[in-house]
Amino acid sequence: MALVNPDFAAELQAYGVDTALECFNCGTCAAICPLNYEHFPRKMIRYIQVGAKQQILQQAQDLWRCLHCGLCTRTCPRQANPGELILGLRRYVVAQSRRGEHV
Amino acid sequence: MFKPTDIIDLLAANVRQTRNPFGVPASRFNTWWRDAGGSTRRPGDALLFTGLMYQAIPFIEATTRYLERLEDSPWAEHLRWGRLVPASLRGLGLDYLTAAAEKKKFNGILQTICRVLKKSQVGFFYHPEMDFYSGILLYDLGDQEGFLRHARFVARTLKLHGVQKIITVDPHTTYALKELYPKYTGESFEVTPYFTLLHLAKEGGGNGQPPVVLHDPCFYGRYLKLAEGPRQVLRSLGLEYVEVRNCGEFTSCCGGPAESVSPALSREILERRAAELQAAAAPVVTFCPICLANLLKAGLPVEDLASLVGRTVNNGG
Amino acid sequence: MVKKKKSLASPEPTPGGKVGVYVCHCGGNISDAVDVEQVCAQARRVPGVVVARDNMFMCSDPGQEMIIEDLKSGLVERVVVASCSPSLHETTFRNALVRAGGNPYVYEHANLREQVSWVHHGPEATAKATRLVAAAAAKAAQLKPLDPIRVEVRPRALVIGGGMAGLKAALELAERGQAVVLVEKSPFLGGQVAQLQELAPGGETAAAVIGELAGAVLQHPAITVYTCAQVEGFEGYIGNFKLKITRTSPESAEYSEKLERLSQSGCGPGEYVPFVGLMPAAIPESREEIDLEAGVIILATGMRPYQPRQGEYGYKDFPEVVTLPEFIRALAAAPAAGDTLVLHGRHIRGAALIHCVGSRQIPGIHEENPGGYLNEYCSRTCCAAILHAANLIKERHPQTKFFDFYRDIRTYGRGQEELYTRAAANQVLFFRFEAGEEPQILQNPDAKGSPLLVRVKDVLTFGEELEVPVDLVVLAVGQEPNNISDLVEKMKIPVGADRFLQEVHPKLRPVELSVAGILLAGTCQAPFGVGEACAAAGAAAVKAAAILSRGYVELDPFVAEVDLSKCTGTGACVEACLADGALAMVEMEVGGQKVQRARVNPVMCLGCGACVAVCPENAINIQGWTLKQFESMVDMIVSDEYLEQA
Ligand code: SF4
Ligand code: SF4
Repeated sequence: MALVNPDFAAELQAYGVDTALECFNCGTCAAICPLNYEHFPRKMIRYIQVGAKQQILQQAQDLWRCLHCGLCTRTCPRQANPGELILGLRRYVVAQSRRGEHV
Repeated sequence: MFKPTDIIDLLAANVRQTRNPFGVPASRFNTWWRDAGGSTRRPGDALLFTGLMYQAIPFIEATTRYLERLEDSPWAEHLRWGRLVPASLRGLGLDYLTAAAEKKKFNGILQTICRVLKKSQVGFFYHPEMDFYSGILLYDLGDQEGFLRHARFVARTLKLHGVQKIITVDPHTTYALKELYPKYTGESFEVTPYFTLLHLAKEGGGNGQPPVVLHDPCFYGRYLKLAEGPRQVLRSLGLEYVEVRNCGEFTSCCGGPAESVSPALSREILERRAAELQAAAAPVVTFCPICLANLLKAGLPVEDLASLVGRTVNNGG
Repeated sequence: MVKKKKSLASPEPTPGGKVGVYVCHCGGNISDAVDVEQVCAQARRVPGVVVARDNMFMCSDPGQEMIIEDLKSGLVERVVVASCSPSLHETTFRNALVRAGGNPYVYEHANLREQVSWVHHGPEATAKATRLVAAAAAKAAQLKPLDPIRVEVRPRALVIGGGMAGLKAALELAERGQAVVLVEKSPFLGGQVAQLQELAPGGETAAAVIGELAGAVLQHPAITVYTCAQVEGFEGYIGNFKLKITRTSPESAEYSEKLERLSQSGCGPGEYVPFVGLMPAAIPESREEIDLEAGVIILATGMRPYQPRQGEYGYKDFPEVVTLPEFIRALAAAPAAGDTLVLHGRHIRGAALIHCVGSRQIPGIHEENPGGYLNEYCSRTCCAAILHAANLIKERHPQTKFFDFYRDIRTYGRGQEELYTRAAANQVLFFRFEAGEEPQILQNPDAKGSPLLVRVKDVLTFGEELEVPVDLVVLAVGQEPNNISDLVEKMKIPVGADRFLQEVHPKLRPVELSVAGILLAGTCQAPFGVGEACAAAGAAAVKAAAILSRGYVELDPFVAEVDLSKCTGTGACVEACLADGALAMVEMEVGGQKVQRARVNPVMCLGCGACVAVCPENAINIQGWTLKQFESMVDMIVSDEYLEQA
């Protein structure tokens, strides 16, 4: 059970993650993503929305599976830029990891 | 737990030391221009900027082949990333590992690009000292700091040399220079992929070439919406091509970028794309070194756009 | 008052003959199961039938033209159409007869779709179709031309309900030159809309909308308004309703709260007061009775918001849980500026919005409401209303966070999807729950944090359980019809399973009730938004005005008729009759003697035939459905003479 943290999305803005709340969880991105993997990338975007920081850090490895192919960003009906959000999360995780925070 | 920084830090250190992620000085593998005939810079000329992508492929491939033998070892996780760092195998003699034929093929593509640009009377020059790796890998992996540092260096250096117009040869470098540099370094250039500059007369009407099928790289087809350029070149040469359903803005990824994370995943995506292309029953043409190398692995008859154009121009002329 | 119209100018058809049979393919709906050509071939052998034709769509223009031509050329004088259900197209074909100069009642309909092709297949389908057509033809051969019953109309409309729809209907009627009496139960005009502030999605204010509408109604000389009034007596029929209206001082606590607000507002009569409405007249000191005659009645009795049970989403368990109407009222008293919303002195940092409260309840999943029913319908307005409220607040108080818990978002109309998009832009965070897994409202164990915790199994987060600390929970309650069981009983109005009043046909006759002359407007019919309620009221007003301005109505003449040559005055029929006032024994002179004989009031007669069944002399029959006609149908059904020899 996780406590929703609505402030997390704001924290991520520093890493260029600023479209996550545009996402209305339609799942188009997960359907078109060639990774075909456990709701990716919507899963990560939903985690941003509800502020599930631990989940993101625990599953950080998945972020690096993304091909940056851009299909999701191209097809997202809400211009939530899912592919760019994944890159932004990578930047966030790298920065966390450099700051010595346990990843 | 997963620590992305392990490998990112290694790559970033390489970029800091050698200005490229491979950890060897560019001069070791950027040798194609020696056989390309000289080019003098005239005022207003554009800089031909390879971004060192085509040159690096044979080395990466060689490293991969070597590392594949270690696939089952506990090192595998990190070794896959090691393929991008041929320097880690320095002791084994990189040149020795890298097949001469491969090097010749990829260098040949760059040489051909030079030749067709000249034939199209494009005013350009090349200088190995002004040709850098773009930093795109660091950006992609999320090392914003490393990317910024490198990109600023490259942008500043180019500006210092008075470069304004740039001709690129691969989609990744084009994306970095066209989209990322202005956004993150504040420096803008006039960036044009070489194929949009070609003006080649229809000499010999395609020479009876069979039709080809096009594979658009993600960055050209989707991000930069430049899929039309290569098609125009083919049409002007009287070469026929067919389209697969997933093309242009909706092209399918070849799986290349996943190679370092998971060869199995990369393979799966590659096979899906290969099946789409194979259905067209025609030789494949692409215009990205990563796509080219990856599609070759699927055993498809594939060549670079430059090679096809070069051959057609040769035969006709 | 009731008179027969002059006979339609059409020649008397040849007795027993010249029947035309027209069989429809219904674009395959019928012809896929029924061999239409064979039906025609056999119909031609039925006595009296002169022609049998088929068409892909009989109801199409060419189909109807075919019938009209045969009638005009004199080939055919009686018509049978064998097609879909008569409820769909019987009127269409009767009108075709009128266009050809014939009498619309020399027509018989056979249903080959619902009664044959949709339920039977193979040779049996064709066999049954043939017998139905033969029976219809046999009846058609017996039909006589009839005249519709013509009823004069009292030149006045009664509108029941002084909310948005009632006001709108009254005004529309008055503007069409009709006299209107508007009856409102409470002391106020404005209904539920007066309980709102800004209306979704456009943001018009209730004050402006109701103020303008009620103002125009009160000023219009053709409209009489009675507040504190109820319909107590009702009798009559379309064109001639007789009503008793009573005015009494209302007792409900709800009204006293509003009267309190009114007196605090310092507003005078006829002025709009938020959360009250307009009070056009003083409350009657003593009981008043008003007798009224009206040609048409419009029901605009409206709805009320669903009232959650104690404990439903923590309602009444926690003071921080409120319904949307309660929230809107509290909001009106809150400071309009400031980073966070402040309600009753409390800072609202986070607010949960819960959709579908009291709507879309599912048998077996949701608990029945105290009255023993479930609201299975979608209330249609709550999604837009609650998102509109969230947007307003978010744009005024950017630091107040909204957490929206929905089953589905149904912002379905013009300008409504934009509310949803705007909510996302306003960073409203959405959660989705499944029916039966509604969010739970709990006390927040973290005493330093917000008082409540919403726990939800969130579909959007892959079924993971999430908890959101909040300072406020707003329940988007749905609409329920007002309880008007007294009117329903008096007027014999059909009520749907959802307890809303039921129209004749949801698409073709959306504002009419099966009781002729009584029309529907607004949320007594179904959950509507304000705009939709107005549109319905406008439609009802136009329908009503059409009836009033024509001055008379024509009713189908399928009513009882006494054959005085046979009636012996037993009175059995009057005893059997189901409709008050339809049948009576009256004194009349027959052969110089004063005798008791039955007489029909055709306007009241239901045409049910209860009298026909009991008359020992067979002296009473339903026009257009006489016993003789039935007999001929039965004879033809059992006959084999027209069947094709195998
Ligand atoms: S960019 Fe990444 S997340 Fe988006 S479709 Fe491509 S691989 Fe999937
Ligand atoms: S396609 Fe866009 S809106 Fe749909 S789930 Fe993915 S990011 Fe969200």
